[in-house]
Amino acid sequence: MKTQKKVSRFLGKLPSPLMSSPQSANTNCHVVSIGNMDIPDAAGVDLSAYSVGSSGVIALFDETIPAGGILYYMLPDSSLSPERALTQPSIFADTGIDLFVDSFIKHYKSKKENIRVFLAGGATAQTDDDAFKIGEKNIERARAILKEKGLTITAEETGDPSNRTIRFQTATGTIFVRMNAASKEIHLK
Amino acid sequence: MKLEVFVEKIKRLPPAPQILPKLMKLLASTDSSFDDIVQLVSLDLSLAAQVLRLSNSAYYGLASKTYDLEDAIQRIGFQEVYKMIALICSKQLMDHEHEIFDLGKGELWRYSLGSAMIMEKLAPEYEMVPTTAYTIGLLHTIGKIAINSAAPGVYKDVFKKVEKEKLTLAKAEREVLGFNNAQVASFFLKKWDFTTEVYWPIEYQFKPTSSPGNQKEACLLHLSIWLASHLGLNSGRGAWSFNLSKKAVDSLNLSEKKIQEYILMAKDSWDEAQSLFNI
Repeated sequence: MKTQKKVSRFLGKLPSPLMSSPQSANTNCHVVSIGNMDIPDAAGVDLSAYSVGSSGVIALFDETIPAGGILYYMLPDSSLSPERALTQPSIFADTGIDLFVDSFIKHYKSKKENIRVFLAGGATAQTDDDAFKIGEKNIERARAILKEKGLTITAEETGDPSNRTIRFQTATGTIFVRMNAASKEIHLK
Repeated sequence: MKLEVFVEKIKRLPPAPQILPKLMKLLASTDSSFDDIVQLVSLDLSLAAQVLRLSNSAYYGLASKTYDLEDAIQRIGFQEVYKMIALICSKQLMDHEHEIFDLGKGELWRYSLGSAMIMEKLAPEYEMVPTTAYTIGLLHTIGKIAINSAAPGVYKDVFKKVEKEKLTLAKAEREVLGFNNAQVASFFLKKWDFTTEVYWPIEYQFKPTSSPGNQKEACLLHLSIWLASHLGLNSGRGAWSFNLSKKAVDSLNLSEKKIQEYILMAKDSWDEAQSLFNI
């Protein structure tokens, strides 16, 4: 409870997009929309990111608390629009991941060695003709920034010409990934 | 299978949005009057009631409520009323589950609306009529509705080809069915009396530079489909079994920076749609 109060106070100071996840019909599930992040201040909240295409999703989980958060970024680099990065840092991999990881650690007083990382998204077109390869760039950028931040990726569901829907149980560290009408379960513990 | 034979098999045809091509013609004609428009909308009582209800919504911010269709159209403007009617018609057409594409209730409509908003936003940059661009974006998926109703058994073979042989959805459809969903959409649009400026870009959405006309519109639709996929709006199975045509990229003069700016712009358009239509 004490931790939750601290988290609420800290979230209040962050840019508004951090706080914009609406609740789904299930009140224990927050839907994180594209260009946003969510570090819930209530225990046992599930986090969902729907239809993740070329964008990227990063889920952080600290088993010792237990607690989790999700970032759903859209583009690899904030140099495209530094003004936009100031108001909506979660849109870009570089500004989003930096803020997300720092916020998570600060909120939960997590130690980096206790943090498990899940990376998803980066869908690519069916053949190699896609000149822009935004999905690949989104994932490459995330891997590089996570490494710079001293975090190791525990599990990945990236690439492929498919959207993914992700549901993350922050109480258990279990992630459900739905892709091409099939589901997969990943355990971050 | 021939497209004509397939269409005859469809037990439940999509309801025709008959008013849209008529409204588009009125919009394009210099001879049409305001009264012509009011009269056309008044013919469908249910539609007229929905136009009035939406006109009084917070989005349009009218100073006082209106209970008169003529007054509503005058105050909101014909372009906005056209978009509103296109939206109502498309929702009636698409707001269902489309099981064979693994699309839940409303998902096809959300994606179509997102594509329409992106098309409309990009239209001025490519000297296109925004309402035509909006209509093309909104209706480009109707072939999927017909396929969902008529070919559920056969369609699993399409996904086998997409997922195992790595074919694009359009190519896999052609190999299994003999035609693709864009051709089915175009068939219905012709039947419903839309003009070539709407059905050609839709028919050639996967190969836009092969369109016999309106190639710029076809290229823009092709790009909008790709942009909507980047936002995750094109949810469902086979959403990424689509290749961005290099010829279309060149014809629209797109650089990497430009395309990323368009992705940002597409997000803004979709955010606007969500707040506008409370999605």
